Order: sequence, then structure tokens, then C-alpha cells
Amino acid sequence: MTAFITDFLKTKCPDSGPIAETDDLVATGVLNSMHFVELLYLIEEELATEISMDEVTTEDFRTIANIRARFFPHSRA
Amino acid sequence: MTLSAADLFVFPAAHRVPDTDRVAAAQILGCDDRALDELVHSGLPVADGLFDSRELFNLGLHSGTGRTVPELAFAYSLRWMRGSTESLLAARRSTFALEVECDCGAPSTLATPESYDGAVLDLAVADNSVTATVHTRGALSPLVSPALRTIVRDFAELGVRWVKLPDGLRDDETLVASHRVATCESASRYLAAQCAAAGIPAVTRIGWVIGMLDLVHAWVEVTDDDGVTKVVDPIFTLFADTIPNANPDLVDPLTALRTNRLVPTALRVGDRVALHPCATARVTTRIQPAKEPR
Repeated sequence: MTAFITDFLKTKCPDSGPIAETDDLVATGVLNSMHFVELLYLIEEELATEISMDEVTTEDFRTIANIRARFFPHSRA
Repeated sequence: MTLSAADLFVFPAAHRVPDTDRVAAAQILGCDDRALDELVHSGLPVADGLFDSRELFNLGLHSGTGRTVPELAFAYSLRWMRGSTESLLAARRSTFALEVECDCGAPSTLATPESYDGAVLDLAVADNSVTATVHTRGALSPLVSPALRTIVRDFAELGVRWVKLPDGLRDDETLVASHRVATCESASRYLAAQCAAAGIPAVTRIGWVIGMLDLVHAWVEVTDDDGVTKVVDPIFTLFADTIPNANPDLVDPLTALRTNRLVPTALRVGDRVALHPCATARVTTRIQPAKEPR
């Protein structure tokens, strides 16, 4: 269910190599401020609901595992 | 709508920082190589294949395409402007954290949060951080003074575009009239100067907006004819005008709506919320809803 996140990150950062579930996306530069907003919209589209900026933190997006836990708690890795 | 550099405010060369390559530029603008070439041909500055990220941001934000990164980011971060007046005035409780990260270990001079009609609790000031719990509340009142109403309405009708500017130009209010571009700081200075010229007591103020990460905002505090000091926020009025279904009180320049998202400091435009000896120090601000105690 969350494969679209990996696909998105690979498209935006094709030179990043394999992205592990627990890789720090912010520290490694895979997820920068430009991609962040696009990813937010993608997740909203997937969830079919708006995500309020009051409800999210940088930590929610730091790893794919964090994104999954925060937004797709019932999906499998 | 297509991208065009025709209306771009081009920075004076001395202020330009070529920091963004073509790949990143195309990502910011949501365009391909060919479109980028056309933008360069029509005036987008580039030096040795590098663009100034702030010029790219401004071009994208005002492109009208709806698909550039700046447009997407603004549309997202300003959604709260669609809220009801009641929600924009209600009491809020937020955690505040201002932090300077630098390997040098030298202390910083940091601003502390204040509050309109609220409170700042648990304030903790360290060498390179400030934390607190901030209670905020909004206020709504129409502008009374005919002269003030004229000044504020004239600004709204000036056709000013909010832009990112280099530090050396950020507070320059002369660009408002000469080029119709402004930052929050320069717009506030411009408006405060107009008020002063009309004999209306006004001061600029800087601070933060809850939910808008790292953005240092500026506005004007004006003492109206009814003796009430009101917040006039010229840039947020412009922003609200770009948001579909924005609260009408935010769009109306003649209504002083101080939202519950505003966290002031004691500082004026020209001051800095964080002063540190190293230019590479990283300053971050996080203001987020406080979790209710169980």
C-alpha cells in the first residue's frame, strides 16, 4: 500500500540507491523541502483526506517506517 | 497559464546567490528543460548553470500554474485561512521551540515569545534554545480611523506581490512603491511609515505564525481612533486573497483580524529573532499544538 512512497522518492532522487525502511530521509537528503510538500499531497490523495499541518511533525516523515506508522498504520512493510 | 519570467523581480547582481542547478530549478518550477531555456531567454538570471533559489521561488509562486513547488507549499500551509472566524479567534495552547544549531558552541541572542491576550508559560531560555508553552487568542475589530482605512485600502489595491528577497533588501520598503514587491518586513515598514506620516501611532512587530515552520513574520500594530491597538497584517491580507474560500474577515483589508496563530516578540522589523556569530548556524522554530494533559 505504501510502495508509492518509495516510488516517489526514487523518482525524485534517482541517485539515492535502495532506500531502506529505517533510512533517515531528511538527513540523507532524499526528502527535502521541495519533495516534502509533494509527498504530503500524495499521501492525502492516497488517504482521500486532508492532513492538517497542525497534525504533523518532521519526525512523521523522517523514515518510511515513520510515514507508514503515522499515516498507514494497518499496512505491511 | 504558463511560466513566464516577464514579471519577475530580478535581484541586483550584487545580491544574487547562484545556488541551484538546472535539475533542482526544473523541479521547483515543475517544468522541463525546454521551458527552463525559454525562461532564461526571457529574463530568468543564470550564471554558470546556477540559479538563485529565491528568484526561482518567486517565479514559481506567482506563475499561476498551480503546479510549482512554491504554489503547492503555500496552498498547503495557508489552508488554515479557510477556517471560521470563531476558529481563528479561539484560545490555543502551543508548544514553542526556537533552536540554533552550530558546532562552534558559542551562545546566541534569542528572542522570546510573547502573547496577545494570552500567556507564555514554562519559558526556558538556554544559550542556544528557547522553549515555552504559548497561549494565544485572536481578536477582531473593524478599522475606525478614515485615514487608516484609506492607507490600508490603498496598500491592498497597490498590486503588491509578496516575494523572497536577499537579506540586504528584505526590509527595504522603497521596493513596495517602486517595484510592487514586498516581504512581510518591508510591507510592514511601508505601512507603518504611511501611518506615521498621517499622524497615526504605528509600530512594526515581528514574530511567528503557528504551524508555519521557521517563517518569521512581520505586521503592524496601529492605535486606532477608538484607542484600541490593532494588528494590521498587510501581507496576510494578500495571501488570503489567493486562497479559495478564505475567511472573508481575513481578505477584508478594513477588518483587523489578529488570528490566534500569531506569536509576537518584543522586536521590530530590522531586528533578528536569533543572532549567532557563525553565518552557517541553523535556526529552526517549531510551534505546534500542545497535547492536552490526560
